[in-house]
Amino acid sequence: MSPPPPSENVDKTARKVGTDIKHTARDINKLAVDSGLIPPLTPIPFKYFVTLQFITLIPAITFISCFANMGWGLNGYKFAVENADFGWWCNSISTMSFLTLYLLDYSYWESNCMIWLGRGLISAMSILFGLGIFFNAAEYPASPITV
Amino acid sequence: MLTLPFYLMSFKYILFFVDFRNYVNWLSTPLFITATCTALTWFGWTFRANDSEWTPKVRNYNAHYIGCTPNFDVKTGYPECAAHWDALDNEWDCNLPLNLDRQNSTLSRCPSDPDGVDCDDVYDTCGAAFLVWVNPLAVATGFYFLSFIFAFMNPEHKDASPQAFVKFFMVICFMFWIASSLAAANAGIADALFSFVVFMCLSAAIVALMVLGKKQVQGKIEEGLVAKVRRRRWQRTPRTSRRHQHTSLHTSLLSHLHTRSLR
Repeated sequence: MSPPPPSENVDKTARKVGTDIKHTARDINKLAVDSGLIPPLTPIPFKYFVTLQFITLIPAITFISCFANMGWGLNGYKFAVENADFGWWCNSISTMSFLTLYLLDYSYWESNCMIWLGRGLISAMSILFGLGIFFNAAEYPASPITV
Repeated sequence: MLTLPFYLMSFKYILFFVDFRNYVNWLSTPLFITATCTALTWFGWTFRANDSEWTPKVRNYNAHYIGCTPNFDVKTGYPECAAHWDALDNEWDCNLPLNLDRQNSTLSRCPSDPDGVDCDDVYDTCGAAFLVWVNPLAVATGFYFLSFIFAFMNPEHKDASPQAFVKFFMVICFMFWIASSLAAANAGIADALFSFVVFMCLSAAIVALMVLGKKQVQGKIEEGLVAKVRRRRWQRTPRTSRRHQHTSLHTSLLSHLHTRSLR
């Protein structure tokens, strides 16, 4: 009986190596999950995966475009540094407003209208405070990424 | 970092009308992929051209463009270069051009006297210049961190303990801290790293509050504290009195929780 052609042998070996790699990867994954380094994941439907991927890419791309050398980060930082006064005003107004709301017993407001007004004010002030932190880039260079 | 959890969670109410647990767990994979893509793109970009690497030339260019104040400190800086800098217009009267040609953006031999004083490191305290360059890596790190946090937040996997991940993360932070302290001691990079880590932890706390709710988070913290106290007492007391102590601690814990719930 003649020996099998060399191409068949190569195929067999490749298949065996492939299976070995798969098993090893599975073992490593199991070990990592068991040790608590990697958490177990639930499978994700493809259409949701694509949408979520797009959603998560937006902030990364926006931030890198505005605040990194890879994009137009120098202009973004320059803008923040040049308008540092605006940041100071934002922080002052938002802090004073928080204090005023606290003094007005915001948490005890009862009517629906007042509750929604309070929530709106809190949201607006949070955004204002975030803007203030962002414009503090001259003093705290890490502030844009923290926001 | 702080707005990212709110941004991601908002889509749960706008687009995804699914179970909160599933949504949180699904987010971890896209976040991980985005982080990997960002990190790889950044690494590719840094090796692409000389202008993209972190060199004194790039640092000076970035620092000058942003408007960093040069370091003219008598002890740690370059006071002899101060005469050549116009603070009002942020301009040098020597070899620092204001155009975008980075090849020429060096302060070497800035003063025009024949000996020439080296002003190359006059912007060594400008942390912002480095951060602008390294921000993509910071974004990737933040996304990696959040992807793991999201994955561990799934209440369906109660057995999954993030202890190994937390230890691993702390070791990485420690290494980054050492590296930044050694490499850029003057620029305040270590402070920036510290604030970045603090805000990452805050962001993780926001995620935990959003996913688990205030009561459950409070309960988990209390559970952890009680277990710790119990373990310590157990180790300190002799074997004979352990049984009695176990019972008394249990009783006191129950009464504490009961009074809390009554409040």
